Amino acid sequence: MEAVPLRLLPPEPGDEGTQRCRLGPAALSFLGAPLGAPLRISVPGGSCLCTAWPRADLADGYLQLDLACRTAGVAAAALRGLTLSLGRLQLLPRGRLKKATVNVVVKSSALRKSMPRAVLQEMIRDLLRNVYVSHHYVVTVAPDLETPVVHIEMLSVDPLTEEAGLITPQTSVKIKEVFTLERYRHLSEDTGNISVAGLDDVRRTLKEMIDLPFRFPKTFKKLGLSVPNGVLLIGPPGVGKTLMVKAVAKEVGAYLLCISGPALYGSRPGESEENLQRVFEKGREMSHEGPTILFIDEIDSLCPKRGSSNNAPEDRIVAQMLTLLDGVGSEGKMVLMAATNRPDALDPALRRSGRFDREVIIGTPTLMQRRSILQLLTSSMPISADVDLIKMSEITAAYVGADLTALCREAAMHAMCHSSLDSTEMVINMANFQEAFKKIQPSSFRSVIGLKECKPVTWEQIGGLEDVKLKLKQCIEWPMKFPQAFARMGLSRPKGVLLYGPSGCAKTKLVRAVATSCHCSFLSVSGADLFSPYVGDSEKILSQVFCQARASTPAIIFLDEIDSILGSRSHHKTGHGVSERVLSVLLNELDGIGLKVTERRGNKLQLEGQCQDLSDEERQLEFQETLNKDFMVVAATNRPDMLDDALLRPGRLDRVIYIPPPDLKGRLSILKICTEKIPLDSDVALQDIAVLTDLFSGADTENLCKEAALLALQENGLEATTVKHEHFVKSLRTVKPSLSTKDLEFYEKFYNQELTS
Amino acid sequence: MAAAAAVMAAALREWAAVAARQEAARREALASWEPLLVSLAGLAEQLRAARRLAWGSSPLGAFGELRERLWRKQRGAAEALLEQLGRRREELRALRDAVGTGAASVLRVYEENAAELGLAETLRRGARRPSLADVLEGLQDVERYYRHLYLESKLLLLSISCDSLEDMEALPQAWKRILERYEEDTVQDVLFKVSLYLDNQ
Repeated sequence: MEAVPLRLLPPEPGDEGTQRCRLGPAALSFLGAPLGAPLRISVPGGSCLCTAWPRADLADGYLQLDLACRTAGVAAAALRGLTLSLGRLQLLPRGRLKKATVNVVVKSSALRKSMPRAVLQEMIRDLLRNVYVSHHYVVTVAPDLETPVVHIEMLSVDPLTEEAGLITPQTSVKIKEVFTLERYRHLSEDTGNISVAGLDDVRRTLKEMIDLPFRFPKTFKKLGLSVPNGVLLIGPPGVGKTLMVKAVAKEVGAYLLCISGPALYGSRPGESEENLQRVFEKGREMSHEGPTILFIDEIDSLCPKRGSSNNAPEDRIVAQMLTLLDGVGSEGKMVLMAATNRPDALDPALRRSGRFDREVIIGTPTLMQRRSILQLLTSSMPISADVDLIKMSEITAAYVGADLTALCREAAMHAMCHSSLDSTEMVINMANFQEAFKKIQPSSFRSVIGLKECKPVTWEQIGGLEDVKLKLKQCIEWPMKFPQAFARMGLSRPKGVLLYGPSGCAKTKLVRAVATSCHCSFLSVSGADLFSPYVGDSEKILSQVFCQARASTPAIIFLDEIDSILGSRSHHKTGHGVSERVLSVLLNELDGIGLKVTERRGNKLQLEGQCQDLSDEERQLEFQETLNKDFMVVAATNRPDMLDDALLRPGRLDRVIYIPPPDLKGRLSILKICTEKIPLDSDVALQDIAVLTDLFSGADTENLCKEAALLALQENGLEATTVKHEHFVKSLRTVKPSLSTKDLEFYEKFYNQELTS
Repeated sequence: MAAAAAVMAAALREWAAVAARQEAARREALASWEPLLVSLAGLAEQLRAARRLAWGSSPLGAFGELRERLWRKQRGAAEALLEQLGRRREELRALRDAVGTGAASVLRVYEENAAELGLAETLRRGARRPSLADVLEGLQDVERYYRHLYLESKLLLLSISCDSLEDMEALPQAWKRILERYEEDTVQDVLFKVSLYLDNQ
């Protein structure tokens, strides 16, 4: 008899708004409830107050509820098909209320304005008559009744009791506040905060703008200030602009009204302007009740420069927007925010103070910001102990917040696919992240010029050139590995490296090895990418490449065969060719006066209360970040004399490295590497061959080996299995070195010139 | 238990008598609204026509204050009608209060005698006799019916204003729509139920 489960059925149609609940006679007698007594029923999400009545068919085991009076969290949809135990029903003693204070929710703001308080009070008293209510319950008016009131929220009752009280004609009811339905729904939504990592100062700025004028309106009036109420967020896509606005809106409790360009455009002439006016009107209405944010996403599509495309409808929309923006600050507390990634495409009239006063630039996240983003993302994921966030933030050089989210998601999916056996104990480890890293490319990189795929090459696959390898490692890898040592000695990363030497001596291969060994973004630009028939296009492309490299530091830009791209101002007196102009762009980018404002990254400010003691690894990260703030240019050429002198000075291409043709030891190691795959006979003596191949460059040596193998194949029909020494000797006769002593002298002279000058 | 049942029966008999009278009064009251609303609608039409007329160019333009005088007269008529409607509304309110107190007293009697009566007796139904629970439910329904009727008619009157003449012209239709929802014979059914209960004790 005690814990008989009651199955929840939908309420009777005639019971709507009556606050009745229907029970079977056994349940009624168990509870000892006379008819019409108030019961409190706990359901998932809250509880509701009903009066006990018997079921029409007197059947036991079922329960029908009418949700006229319930706590705020109960939703009718959640109650479908539930089974409750009888213990959830509690009989309450009847009491009468003397006073009650309520909040009223009306259908629309027009009704809110038109109804005088006294009339509303009368209506509420009439609606609440003979209803059992309790503290913090919400009474919903029956939908078949045509009133402007939708909900009545009970704030406090007198006598104060947790039990139910009946509102009688003698109870006095007072209204505290009147809300509109939209604002009420917005307030009662899930108020979980969205957390955004790495953008604390931006968040602080935005919060200040919304919060202060709303909380201290009198102060602002006394100071005679008009509050700045427009913010433009600029940054590459995926960096967190929309997310930031949503997070701030949730934190402050403001109502967020979003406009997106495509939604506004209409087909009839004048329809888009009308839509725009309507949205602003709505924003102004909502701002009478509380802080409101009007967020315009991708504003550059809505308000491009006027007169640029002779598109009259667009110009009209821009003009309308400007007029509306000027009217925003006059009444109401509406704050305007907009986000874009092309600030130059915006009409300049928008960006003056009075409209969008403040501009906040959110750049691609720096190392520290990436680390905090990854920390936030993986805080809710089950990751194993071997996942090193610092290492991950190092390899994700050009990734924005959206890319990092995709990375974590991909890693989780990978873990899920591979551990389908034990789905409860799933842990994501570093291998999953490595796999995911291969799949997810940074979004800023997808449209970049000069993105090339290079096959990975290890340092061991290049024979000889030990000192060159050491020098390259020093330039590129050491600043990343030992940033503290570099900072201590006052060193910084070199700006540029020039590799010169005779052709075929592994210059490009060295650069590939560099790209493989360090986790920098790698961009490679050739003449085909740069040159275009339009005047000024090549310069723009080159400066775009540099812009993208700066957004994804640490980065390496590789300019191969640089002498063909750039001209020299001293050699050709022709003057205004494309090469000279590209040269001037390169010189400026390498050692110019400063960055564009929109390319700012990282947060400069650190408030007083925020200076914490950084742990060792964090400090290392900071050092690393400061040292690797810039990109590096690596250039390779055969004709170093053709380059302009201004390029070769320290500060631009500082390290000039001569790649000589291999000496005896070098040739021997090259031969060893080349003949790794070739099955050699026992009589092959690589040492002798090395001696014989004087003046051979690395490419020549490789060619030699290939020729020998081909010869072997030729001689023995296609059945040959090994290459004999005589094959090598025979091929030596045909393969001649591509270098001559004269060339070598030329390079040596250049090298000595560099040393002495 | 028999005593409690007798007390309940007496209370219900009293209520039934009063309710029947109130039902008749309600029908009268509701019927009297219609002609008032129709005249109000006609007045609204007149007001609209007067507004539309171009006074200056018509022969009546010679009489300077004719327009204002006509306007004042029409306003006066509208206000008189509204006053009458207000009185009707008060009638409905009085009805509602009376019904409310009646139902409340019966329910109070029930509350006092609930323990004595017992649940089984309250729920006992016969072939021609509804249970006491059904009857009490019906009482509550009647009370709610009167309450809602008063509320809706009050709202209708509140929505009348001389600024929205179109709404005023549409008043009879609006009233008809409201009446449609309150035409159900809720009160009659409950009175039948009570009489069946009392007769077949």
